[in-house]
This record gives sequence, structure tokens and C-alpha cells, in this order.
Amino acid sequence: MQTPLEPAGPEPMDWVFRFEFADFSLSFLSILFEGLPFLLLGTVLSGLIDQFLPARLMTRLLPRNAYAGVAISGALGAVFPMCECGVVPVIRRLMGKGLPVSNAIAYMLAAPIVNPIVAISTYAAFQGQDPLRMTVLRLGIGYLVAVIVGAVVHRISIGAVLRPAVVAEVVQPRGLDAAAGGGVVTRLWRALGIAVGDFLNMTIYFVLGCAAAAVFNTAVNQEVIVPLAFNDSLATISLMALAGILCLCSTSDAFVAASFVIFPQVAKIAFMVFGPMVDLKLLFMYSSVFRPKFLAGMVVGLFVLIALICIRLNVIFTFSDQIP
Amino acid sequence: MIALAHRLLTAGILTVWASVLCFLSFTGRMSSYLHPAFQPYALACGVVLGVLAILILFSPEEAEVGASGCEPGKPRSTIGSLIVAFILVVPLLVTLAFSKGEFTATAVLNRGFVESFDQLAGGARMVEPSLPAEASQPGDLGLVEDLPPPEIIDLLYAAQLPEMREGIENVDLEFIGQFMPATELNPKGNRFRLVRMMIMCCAADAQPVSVLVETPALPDVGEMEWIKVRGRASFPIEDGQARPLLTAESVEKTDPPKEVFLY
Repeated sequence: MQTPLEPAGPEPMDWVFRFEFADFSLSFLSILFEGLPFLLLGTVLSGLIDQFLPARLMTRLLPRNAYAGVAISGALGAVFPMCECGVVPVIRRLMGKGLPVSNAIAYMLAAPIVNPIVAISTYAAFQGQDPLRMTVLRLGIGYLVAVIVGAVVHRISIGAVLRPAVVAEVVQPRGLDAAAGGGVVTRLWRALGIAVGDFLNMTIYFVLGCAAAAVFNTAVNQEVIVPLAFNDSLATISLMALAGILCLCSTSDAFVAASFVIFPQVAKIAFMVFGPMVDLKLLFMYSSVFRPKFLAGMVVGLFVLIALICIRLNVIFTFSDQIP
Repeated sequence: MIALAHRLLTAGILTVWASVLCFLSFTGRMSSYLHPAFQPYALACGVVLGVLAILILFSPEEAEVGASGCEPGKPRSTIGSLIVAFILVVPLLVTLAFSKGEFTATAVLNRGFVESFDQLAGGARMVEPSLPAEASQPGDLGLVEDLPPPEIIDLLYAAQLPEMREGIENVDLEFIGQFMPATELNPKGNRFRLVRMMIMCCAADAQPVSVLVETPALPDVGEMEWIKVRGRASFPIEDGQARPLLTAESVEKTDPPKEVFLY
């Protein structure tokens, strides 16, 4: 049996898919337990945002120029770090408080990457593999992609992006006035109800996503991708697909990426940028907020955009490596 | 009445999740799922969910907002709530019942063996390994009280850095790991693989770290059964690279270690 990180050996792979329920259970529960605390944190924040963040405050704080707003939202993760599991309920409430959808999506995509924790872990993981360049490129490309997607979403109508139930919340934001006011204690009780409701709602999607991820995580022979490692384009695409399947946490995925020794650096960057934006569990969680058609378009768009950027990046890598 | 039923259902779901997280944390079984760095978060999550369950149970009407529904102020139907309860509780309990806390041979083969240090997640960091103390007397396991016993991963490290082999080569060593047949690099058929799973954050990213073990007679154990191997390490060049090879003096079945994963 060859490791997936080595060139294909003399023994041909004799299966692609082999399922064991015990392996599925272990992987499913571990992904679930790892993400659940952050999901809970996100939903508690969403309850507090709903009850204590004044309506339209976000709109007043952001610049009038929509694209400048998107650019700033993409960088907010540096100040308000949030992992991918917790960010979905948060942006849903922020949109309900008047944050433009384009800004919310820029923040949603960038925050799991453009934050200090991920910067430190990426730098640590790539010690001996040009850590500064890998860290800067990961955060830079993550930010760029999130802002581009946010800018594109700005040109699309809200109704085409969000599910009808979410549109209703966004069109009629629930500020303190809409929440019927009340004292702090009353609002805390309401925040509790909203937080628990959001938690249960998001956990349904999270459970389904974890189950899908666990099947691929344990049952698919990862040797499948090894022959692709020697072509930059195929390597990039295959590692992006792997990132979508593995559902790793953005705070630690760099350590896994760094271990793909036979894969080119650009493929590793693609793995670390695409994974926190799109993976199986996130697809289910996104589907609670976004329309299926938009979600499909966003996923395909992200895949193509990140792949193109990273594959073209190889030219820069080759050029800079030639500089003495 | 329906509101009360929804409230009880919500509190019940939260209680189940809280109980599972707290039970696994307090019994130490959480180490079968998460890296130690993530375990406190899981425990905290369990405690918070337990507190939320109690609060929901005794909350005033204001807390009904969204307590059981997808949209604030719009609770689910009773059937919808039951479906939610089913999705949130049944998979959790069923997988918990079937999870053995360790992977089978299928998952290991699907992931492929890690045989060199730079293939390991985090391997590039080149952390100082826990090497055994210098020892040369046969029977001396080369350990001192202050150092943890060597693990398989230390052999991979030593294979990559010859200067690190001094305390490992020609020293009696003892390793606990899981048995897997060696289908490659086994020309005489007298080798097997000793495997430990290493995780970076959770079991989902576990990598099977393995070394080859050479023995006069293959042990009569099944795939992924826990064994204790006592022997000496060498680092022959095979298939173009230095590989750790344990020449076993004895191989015996053993109980799993307290923590089945390496971190």
C-alpha cells in the first residue's frame, strides 16, 4: 500500500470506495465535536447581535461606497476572527441588522482565513517551506477572492441570493425597536431563545454536512489523487477537491497541507484557501441561508477563481525562485 | 400545551448533547476524537448547552422566540420539531454506540501509510523528538525517568536525520502500536507494519504513522490489533531512502494505551 503522498507504486490500487460504519462514526463524531463549540459561539453571538446591536448601525459605520464597504468587510476577520463553523449564523443576524449582503458574504468567506490565528498556524506549519511567503499568499488570496465574490454579489439582487425567509429578515431588519424593546433582562431572554433556535437550526445542517464529510473522509481511497501531484493544474484542482471533502478547521488545516510533500506549493495554497470557504459541511450550512442556484454558482465560481489564481501563481513562484 | 412540548423537546435535545459532551470529557473518551487542545472547548460546549437546557426549561415566554424554529417568532410544527429532534439526537447516539474510538484497517488503507517524517502533518516543523537516553546494555530500554518513551514517530525522525540516531540505533526499544500486514518492502515475507494514528486536531485528520518490523515468525494477530514490540532499530536504505526497521525480539498482544492517538 502506498502512502497518498508518494508516487504511485508498483501495486495498483484495487478499490476506490470501501465503507466501514465504525470508521464513519469516529470521523463523524470528531468533526462534529470539533466544530460544535464554535457553532455554539456563533449562535450565541447571533442572539446577542439580534437583541443588542442597533438596526442600521452597521450601515452607518461602513463607507458609503459599496465596494469600499466590501473591501473593509473582507478584512474584518483580522479584528473579529470567526471560524467557518460559527460565521454563518453571525452573518445571517448581521444582515438582519442592515449589513449589506455583499459585505456579509465577503466577511463570511474571508474571516476564517484572514485572521491572526490562521496566520500564526500557517506560519508555524510551513517552517522550512518558506513560511512567510505561504502565509502572506494564503491570507492575501483569501482576502482577494472574498472581496471579488462580495463585489460580484453586490451586482445581484438580494432575492436571487438569499432564501425567501432570510430575505424577509433582511428587508425588514429587526432592530431594538422591532424587537419591541424591553429591559436588558427581557432582551437577554429573547437572545437566549434566538441563540438556541439558531443553534438547533444550524446544527441540523452541520450534522448532515459532517455525515457527508465522514463518508468521504474514511471510505474514499486517497491514493486516487497521488498521480495528479505531478501536474500543477491537476494537483491544484485535486487538493481543492480534497479540502472540500476533508472539512478541516482553518486553524489547523495548514499542518495537513504542509504534509503533502510531493504536491506543488500552489496546490497547497489552493487547499488552504478553498477549504475554509467551501467544504461539505459548509455547503449544508450555507444552504440554510442562500438559494440553491446562487450557492451552486458561488461554489463553482470560488473553485474556478481560486484554481486560476493559484495555477497562475506558479509562474510567480518559478520567476521568484530564479532570482538569486 | 404545544408550547410546553416544544420547550421540553428543545431542552431535551440540548440535554442529550450536553450529556454526551460532558460524559466523553469526564471519562477521558474525548481523547479518542479530539486533540487535547480542542478538548476543553468541547467540555465548555457541553456545560454551556446544559445551562441553556435548564434556562430554556424555566424561561419566560420571551425566550420562546425562535426556540424551536428556523425563523424568529415562527416556531416549527410539531412534526417538524420531531424531525429536528430525530436528526439531532439519533445520528449522535447511534454513531456513539458504534464508534470504537479507533479506526479499522479500511480507513488506514484508504489514507495510506506515512513512512517518513516530512509526510507527516506538522512534520516540517522539525520539533525535537523524545529520544531515549543513551544506553548500550541489552535489556536496558534506553529510557530515563525524565524522558517519555520513544514513539514510532521518533523513528521516522531519526531516519531523516542521521545525527539523531545515536540514542536509538542498537538500543533495545519497546513500542506499542497496531498490527498491519506489510504488502510492500517485504521480500522475504517476514515483515509487518507497526502503526499508530497521529492527529493534528481531530480524528478525522488522523494519519497512520508506520514502521516496518522484521520478525522470525509473524505474530498471530488480526489487522489493527494492539501489540507490544520489543527490538532494535536500524535504518537501512530501501527503495531509495533510509527507512526505520525494527528487528523484533518479541511481539505480544497488549491492551490499547490510555491515549490511542499520537498528537
